[in-house]
Amino acid sequence: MMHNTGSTAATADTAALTVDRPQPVWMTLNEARERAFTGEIVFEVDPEVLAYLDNGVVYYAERVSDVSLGRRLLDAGLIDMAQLERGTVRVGDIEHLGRLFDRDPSVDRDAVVVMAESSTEELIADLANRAITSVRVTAYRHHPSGVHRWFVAPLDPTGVTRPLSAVAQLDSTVVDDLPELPYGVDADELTIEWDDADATNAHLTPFDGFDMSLLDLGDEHAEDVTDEASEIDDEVFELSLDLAEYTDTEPSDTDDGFVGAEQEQAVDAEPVDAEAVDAEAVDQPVDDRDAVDQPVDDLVDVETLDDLADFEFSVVWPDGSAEPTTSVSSTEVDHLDAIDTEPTDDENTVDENTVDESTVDESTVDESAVDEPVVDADPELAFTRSDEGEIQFSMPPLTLDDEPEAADADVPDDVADAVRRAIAAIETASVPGADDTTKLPVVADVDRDDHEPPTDDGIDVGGTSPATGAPAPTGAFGGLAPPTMATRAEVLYGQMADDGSTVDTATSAPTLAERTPGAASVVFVDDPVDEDESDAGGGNERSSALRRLIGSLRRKDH
Amino acid sequence: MSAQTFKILVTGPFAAGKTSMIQSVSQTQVISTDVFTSGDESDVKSHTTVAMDFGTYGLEGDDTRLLLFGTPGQARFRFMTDILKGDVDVVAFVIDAEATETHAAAGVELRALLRDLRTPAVIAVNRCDDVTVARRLARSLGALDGEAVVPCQLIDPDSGREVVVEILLTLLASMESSKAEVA
Repeated sequence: MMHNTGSTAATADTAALTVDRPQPVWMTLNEARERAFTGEIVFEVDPEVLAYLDNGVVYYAERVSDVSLGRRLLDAGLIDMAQLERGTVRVGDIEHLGRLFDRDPSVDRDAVVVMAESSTEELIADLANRAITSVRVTAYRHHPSGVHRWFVAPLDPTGVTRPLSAVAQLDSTVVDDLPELPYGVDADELTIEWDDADATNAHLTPFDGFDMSLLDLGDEHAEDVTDEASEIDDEVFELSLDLAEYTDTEPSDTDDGFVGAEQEQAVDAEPVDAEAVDAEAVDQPVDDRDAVDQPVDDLVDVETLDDLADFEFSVVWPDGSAEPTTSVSSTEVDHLDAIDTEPTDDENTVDENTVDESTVDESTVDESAVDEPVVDADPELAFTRSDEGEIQFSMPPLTLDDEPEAADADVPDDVADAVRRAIAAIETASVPGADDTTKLPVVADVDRDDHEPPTDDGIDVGGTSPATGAPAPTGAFGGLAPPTMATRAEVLYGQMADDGSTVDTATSAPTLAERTPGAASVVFVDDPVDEDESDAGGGNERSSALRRLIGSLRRKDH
Repeated sequence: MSAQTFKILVTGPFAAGKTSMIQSVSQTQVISTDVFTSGDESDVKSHTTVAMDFGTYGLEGDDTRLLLFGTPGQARFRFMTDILKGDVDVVAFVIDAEATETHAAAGVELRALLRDLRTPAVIAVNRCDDVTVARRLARSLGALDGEAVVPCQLIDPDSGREVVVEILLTLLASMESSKAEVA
């Protein structure tokens, strides 16, 4: 059982922490994490274990039989008695260590925190699989030693930003100590490093595993590409295509110098078979100087694949080998789009009969580049090849652990009706009065029995819930139906005015409110509006209106 | 004299007393969007707000109006609070002091509410008579020193009106403070 003083019923947010039958501790911790619980959980084992959480993360845990934290730090040799004395704030019986590091900078904070973390982790790991039958949960109770303060971010000095928990934040020193990226590559370049030792010899580029035949090489330039050591044609506009240039709208810093920067990291690219080149796909000659002379940044300032249409470019591999110049037409872009949408061939084979012969040749497919990642990668997330010979990502099927709470079609009628009424109310009543008919008269002591609520289309009245037909709660409706366009207060009292009826002014007449000693200093009930103030502008007028409201409400108190 | 409209957003966890507070001051029938509860919630109360509550208060012979918007208390409707809080003059956060099982969720909600709030806020601690206890509870849930805290018994309409008065006083103080800064 979960004990929680004063609780009448557990809400959905905390009921999950309830233990109603033996279950392992980790289940409770898991629920606490999912619900971002902050506070204390006492696991009633022998001896009891107290775990303190912040936003669902256990930041400290101890057995009730453990010695105090300060004593443990002393015993561990992390601090000496003098440091402990300086760092402890004593208020009555409380020995607060939360300001230990502030009060004594000589204390090795990292060592102390690591000690607390490791002892907590050890205890929780030991406890995780033990079965419990009872826990006690107290929200927002932290460890009395103030250790919570060690793990949360300090208050924003501006006071504007609210404090956020930093328990789970990664220590920046961990990142700072990481070695430099191994190959000094441009930050814009994406490099995938595989765990497989063999794979490290061939560092992948964004186009590894990419079917280069999709780029449709032209016949007239195919002769320039004979093997992987082919020279780069100076006349060819070179575009080093990396992933960042596909997506970034920022001007790229790619330049000619970038080409070959990766030469020492040679990719084992297969040579392009000149016979596979589709001459018809070449839209522009390679020696088109207009295209060559354009700045690279201008050419690659694209956001989507669609923007690549009609671009002329060649691909230069990190080892210096170059693919011949080609252009990407909208057809090829469609091919690229299709990579994500076409069905997958599970056998990872190329069906030559179904491959577009104009664009694909067996030898253009880099088998090693395609198959290599699949070996070590998650088998459910692998490169595959479709019947058309296109490289695809095979994604695992999407599965839902839980059914959605309610589909749109399953919204109960009463909920939908309630929302409609709310919207109608906002539309009719919250709009500032544009004319006299929208003014809200005072509803002083209106004898509701004298006014039979009229029935309006679509709204059930007479003390029943509009949607369910069940008796309406008196507290919610006061025995009346909610107002509609025809029955809202403005209309009713407009009708009363037309009929010569009057509101009971005896009860609503302005009277001076009593000034209660000790009440707020702003007592101005029904004070006449100061002419000077009213002339000062809308701000004063608004303040004055607010004061009248306050006065009116206070008058009703008495 | 131009029409003046003031909007109060009343929010807080499930079954804290938000609807009761709006009903205590509204002169027009509160547009209640209550529906029957189900599951665990039905153990607490029979009806609950699903979209919003809406009440009004106006002055005779005056275009001054007070509009009160109440949000649903369930966490799944928290988006409504986020939507509405940017379009009101002042926010009231209602907590039931005795429903301790709601305090964890209330703390999360309160901190989320206050994080980027640009309007003054008042924390109404329902079922509580002691201002010290109310302040301590509000602080434990994430309220800062500057936030006004009001103990109340919202089952009593008079108490509800007192809370609304306190809310308006807070708004007035905020307005005059802003005015002083400009000056």
